[in-house]
Amino acid sequence: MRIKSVIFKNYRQFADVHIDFYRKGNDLHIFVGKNGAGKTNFLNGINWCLYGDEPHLARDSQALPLLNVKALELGSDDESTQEVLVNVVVETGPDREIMFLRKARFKTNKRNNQPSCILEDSQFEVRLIDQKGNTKIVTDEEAQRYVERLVPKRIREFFFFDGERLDSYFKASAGPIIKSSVFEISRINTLDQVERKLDAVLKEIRREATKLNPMADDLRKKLEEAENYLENINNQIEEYNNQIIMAKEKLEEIEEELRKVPGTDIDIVLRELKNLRGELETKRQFCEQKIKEKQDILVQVGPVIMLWPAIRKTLQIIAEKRENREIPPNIPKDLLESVLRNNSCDVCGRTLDDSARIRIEDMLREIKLTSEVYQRLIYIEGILKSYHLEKAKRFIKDLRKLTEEIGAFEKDLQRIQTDIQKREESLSNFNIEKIRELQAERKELTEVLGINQKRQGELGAYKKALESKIEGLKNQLTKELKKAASIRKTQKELLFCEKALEVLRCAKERIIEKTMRTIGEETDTVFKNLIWKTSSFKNVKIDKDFNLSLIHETGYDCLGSVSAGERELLALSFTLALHKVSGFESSILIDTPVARMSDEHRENFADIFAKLSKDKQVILLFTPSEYTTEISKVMNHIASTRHRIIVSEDEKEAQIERLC
Amino acid sequence: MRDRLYIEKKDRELYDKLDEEEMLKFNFKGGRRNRLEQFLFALAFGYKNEVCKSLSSREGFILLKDLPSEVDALLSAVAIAFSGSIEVLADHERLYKIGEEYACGGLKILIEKLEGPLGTFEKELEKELVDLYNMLSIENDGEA
Repeated sequence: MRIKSVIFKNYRQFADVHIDFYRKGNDLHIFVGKNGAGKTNFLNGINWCLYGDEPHLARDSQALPLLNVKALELGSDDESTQEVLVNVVVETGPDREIMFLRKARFKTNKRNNQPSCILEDSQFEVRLIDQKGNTKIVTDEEAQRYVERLVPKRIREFFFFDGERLDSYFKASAGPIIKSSVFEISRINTLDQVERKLDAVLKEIRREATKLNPMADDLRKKLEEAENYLENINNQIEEYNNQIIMAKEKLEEIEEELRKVPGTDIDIVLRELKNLRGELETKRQFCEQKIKEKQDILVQVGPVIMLWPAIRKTLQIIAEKRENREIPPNIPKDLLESVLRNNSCDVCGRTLDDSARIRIEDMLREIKLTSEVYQRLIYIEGILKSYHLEKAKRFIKDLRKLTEEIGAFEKDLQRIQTDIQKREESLSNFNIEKIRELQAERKELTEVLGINQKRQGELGAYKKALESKIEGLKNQLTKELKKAASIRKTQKELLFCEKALEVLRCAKERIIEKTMRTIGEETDTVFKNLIWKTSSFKNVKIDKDFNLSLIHETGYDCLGSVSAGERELLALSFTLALHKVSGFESSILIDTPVARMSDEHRENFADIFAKLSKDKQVILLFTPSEYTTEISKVMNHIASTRHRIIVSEDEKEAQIERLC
Repeated sequence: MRDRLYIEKKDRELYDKLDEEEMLKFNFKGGRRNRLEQFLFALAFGYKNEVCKSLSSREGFILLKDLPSEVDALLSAVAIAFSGSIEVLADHERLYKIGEEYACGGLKILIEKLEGPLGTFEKELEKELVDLYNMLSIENDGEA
């Protein structure tokens, strides 16, 4: 099929656009428009018409209604009705056309100069026009079936796509999706239908054959029961497989979204912040402790320093007294007390007279005073020397040590504060709520994925056991049926049917294998034509699960390390290979096809699409910077139509002007 | 017989005011400083600045039995240095009176310093002490 024409009425920026894709030579159609002009909405418009959704909607368009803004503003204060329409006409054969038409009616009003609209209803219809010009109109589900027949929604990304998003072909869940898409595009699924029919015939024959043999009938019933159970298990496995694919795909989307949201590393930042705050608190406590120790020295030792002249003078006086032998006193106090007590001299034995007694009493008084002073002097001298002197001498050293320690802590605190500030600033740019939401979704999906994978594994093991049981039952049934000579013919039918089914399954496997290999080879060929570093890559491989590998000349898979542009080229090569191998007759429409490609690749791209457009309709939507001289040199003269998308001055409307 | 150290009656309020300065209220272990430490601090300020003030109406502040030996030694040293004689040691009344008068004079200076711009007290104190330490060459004071 090829797109013959497209009509947009009030669809987003396209208020009234009609494009005919007539062909003269190559079926190549070029559109050039600035960013925001409406290229992607052109792609969205076709998607909306065929499938009712807009998968490539840009963020700035999401806030706007489907209805053209100008049409919305033209409405009256009272409620009025405006219609959005997209009409895609495709050619499916000589003089055979299908027209896809989707309409949406909006109720609009402009109260308080605030235009708004509400979707009232929408309608989708398909008009089938035959060679004689007869038209058949189908709607709703039947209409959708026609779309599915021509361009199934599941595989639309292989036909209508955004070049910048080609890279996503290589996401984790791509393999199974590609596999099922290949089956669909290559019509391998048709074999499944044949297989199901043959299986039903086989069962019917078996039922007929066992009618007269209760033993065989019992075995048949058991076999059918086991086969039904196996089918059930297969369905469950398939269901789990789908769930796993969906979960993987969703996980990829979440990861992609997390990569886009500033602050994907929020957990790391928050953890660092927590650690830094903890470190800050600890260091602050240490620092405060050191400051207090320093203050303590100032309060404790400060008075000693301030009183130092007094201490020094006291110690000097003591030292002088000691030098003058004034201390200790030269007459022992005990001796004088003994003389007074005995009333006689302890030295000469003479009895004390009154004058002597008075004299000794005076001396004792004098000595008593001196002795008390002496004792106190000795006492304070000891304390001043051992305690205060030591404390005072250590003062500067201790103070300096603490000052240095405090300085180091303060420096650390400043550094930590700066680090905290930096992280807090980065946090302020994060959409924490969004990140949390995505992370929670990721966690939930990962858990679901794990459970489903486990369950799928268990079912796989159970399936094997069941297949073995079925095989045994089949053998037993065959033996039992052989005993009855009367049903030879039925036996032969049964055998034939079983063989046919076996052959069909083998054929299917071989077709899949061949398709896979051919797509791989074709992808390799196209890719090598597109790529300028031809000697860097050995080949392209596709494994049994349809996962693509790009093998470097040294032998390792380098898909993960090549540039985004190269990955895009590989995806494009794969898509083109798929189109070629499957023989699927559909147009190919690419928005911003060469956005990530280097100049060399762009030239090759132009050549490839020039060749491709000989047999297939190719619609390319370029930005002016993409549509380089190299590309225009190749494409300008072979393109059947060339258009320019022009935005109105108020940026509310876009016109498509045909250049040729 | 003297059994306590006295302060000027109205100075109690000023001693309470010392509590407003964190470093004079708590020690580095978070324990509360006692009145004796504050008294000695005031005394040291009085001695350093040579401000001695007689007590006009006194009030008991610290019991002598609570006086640690190292503080008693400092009070004795101040009294000896002030009187120029060791005989003052035998005269308890005079010995402690000298200390009380220095504390009374020093307390006013201390309060004045504390009332200076916020955060300057500690820095000024540190600077004064370091300068004094260097000026007195305490480091070389082997035997003093």
